[in-house]
Amino acid sequence: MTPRHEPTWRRYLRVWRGNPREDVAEEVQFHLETEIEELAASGLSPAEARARALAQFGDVGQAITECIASDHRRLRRYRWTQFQDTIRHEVKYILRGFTRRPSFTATVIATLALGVGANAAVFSIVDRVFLRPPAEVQEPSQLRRLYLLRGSPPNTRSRFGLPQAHAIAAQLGARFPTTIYDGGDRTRIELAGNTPRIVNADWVTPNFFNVLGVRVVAGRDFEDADLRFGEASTSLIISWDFWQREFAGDRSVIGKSVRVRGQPMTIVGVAPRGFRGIDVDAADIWVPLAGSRRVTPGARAPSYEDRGTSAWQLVPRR
Amino acid sequence: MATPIELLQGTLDVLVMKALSWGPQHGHAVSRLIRATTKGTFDVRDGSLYTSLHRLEERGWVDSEWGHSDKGKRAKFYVPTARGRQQLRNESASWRRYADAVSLMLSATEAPA
Repeated sequence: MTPRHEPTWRRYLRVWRGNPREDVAEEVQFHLETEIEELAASGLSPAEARARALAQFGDVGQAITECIASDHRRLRRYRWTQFQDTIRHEVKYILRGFTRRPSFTATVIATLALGVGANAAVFSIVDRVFLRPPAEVQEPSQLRRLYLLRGSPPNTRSRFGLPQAHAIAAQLGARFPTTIYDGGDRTRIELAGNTPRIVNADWVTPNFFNVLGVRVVAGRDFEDADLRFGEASTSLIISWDFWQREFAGDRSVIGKSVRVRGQPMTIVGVAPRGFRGIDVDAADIWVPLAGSRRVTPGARAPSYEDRGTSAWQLVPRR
Repeated sequence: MATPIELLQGTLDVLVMKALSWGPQHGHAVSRLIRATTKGTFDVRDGSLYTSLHRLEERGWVDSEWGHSDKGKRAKFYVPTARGRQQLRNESASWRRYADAVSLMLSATEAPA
C-alpha cells in the first residue's frame, strides 16, 4: 500500500496550483467508491452498500467544507513562507554580490542617496510652492501674483519697480486690496547685548498681513503710519520661530529696540506660529518697505525713488 | 457487540497518527485500520476522520501526496512528519497515564486508608 511516487515537478505544480476544492472532492469520492465496492463484495445490494457507506461517512457536505477550509489555510501559510524564503535568499545573494564589489556598491549607494536627496529637496520646494498654501494665510485661493510680461512674444515674467508697483496697487484700489513686498533678503540684525544674526527679511507694505489675512499674536500689525517715504522704517514684526529662538517667547519683547542693518528699529508685533511669509525662503522678520534695501546709516534715499530696482512683487486679493 | 462509544474530542487525532505510523495510508485505509484494531469500539464517522487528517496536515503533523491505491485508483496518501511522530510519542505517553489512572480508580475495591 505504498503510494507510487509522482515526479517531483508535479509536486511543485500541485503545491502552487493546489486546488483544495477538487482535491477534497476527489478524495471523498475515492473513499465512498472504495467503501461501496467492499460492502457490495461482502454481499450487500448496490443500494444497501451505498446507503451504508453514506451513513458511515456522516455529513458529507460539512466534512468537505471543513477540509477545504483547512487546506486553504495551510496553502496560504505555505505560500507566504515560500515567499519569505525567496526574498531572504535574494537579499542574501545581493548582499554577497555587494561585498564582492565594494566600489561598485559604493557607487550605487551614492547614486541612490543623491537621487533620493535631490528628489526630497525638489519635492519640498514643489510642496511649498504648489501643493500647500502658506500656513495661516486666509483664503489663499483668492490671492494672485502679478507679473510684468516682457519681450515679443511676451515670454519673460518680471517683477515691478517700486513706483510702478505702487501705481498699480493704487489703481486696483479698495476693490482689490494689494500688497507689495520683496522677500528673502539676507539681513543683519543686532539684538541688545547679543551677537548679530543674519536673518531673512521681507520688505512689505503695511497692509501685508492684512491682505494675507494673517493676524499677529502679540503686539500689533503694521499701520499706514509705519510707511514713511523718504525715511527709514522704525518698526518690525518678527516670526514666531525667531521670537522663540531669540527671546524664548517673552512677551516683553514688544517695544524692544533692535538694529536692522545698523538702523534702530522697534519690535511692534509677533507673527503667528507657522507663518513664514509666502515665498520658498522662510522669512524671520518683516519690515515696512519705506526704508528698504538702501537703509544704511546716513543714506536717506529709500528704494521708493529707485526706479532701477525691479524686485517688487504684487499680490492682490480678489 | 456493545453500542459504539463516541470519541472524546482530540482522541481521534491520536488514533489517526497511530494508524499512519505503520506507513503511508489513504483515508479509507486509516478508517479500516482504526475500526479493525479497536474492534469497532468507537463510533467514528468517516467524515470526521477526513476532517482530522486535514487538520493534522494543517498543523504540520502529517504530509500528503497523491498516489495510487492497490486497485490503481488515484488516492491521497498521508504520512507522518518527524514532528508528527514526536507528537504521537508524547500523546501516547499521556494517554497511557490517563487510562491507567482512570482504571486504577474504577477498579479500586475500597477507599485507601
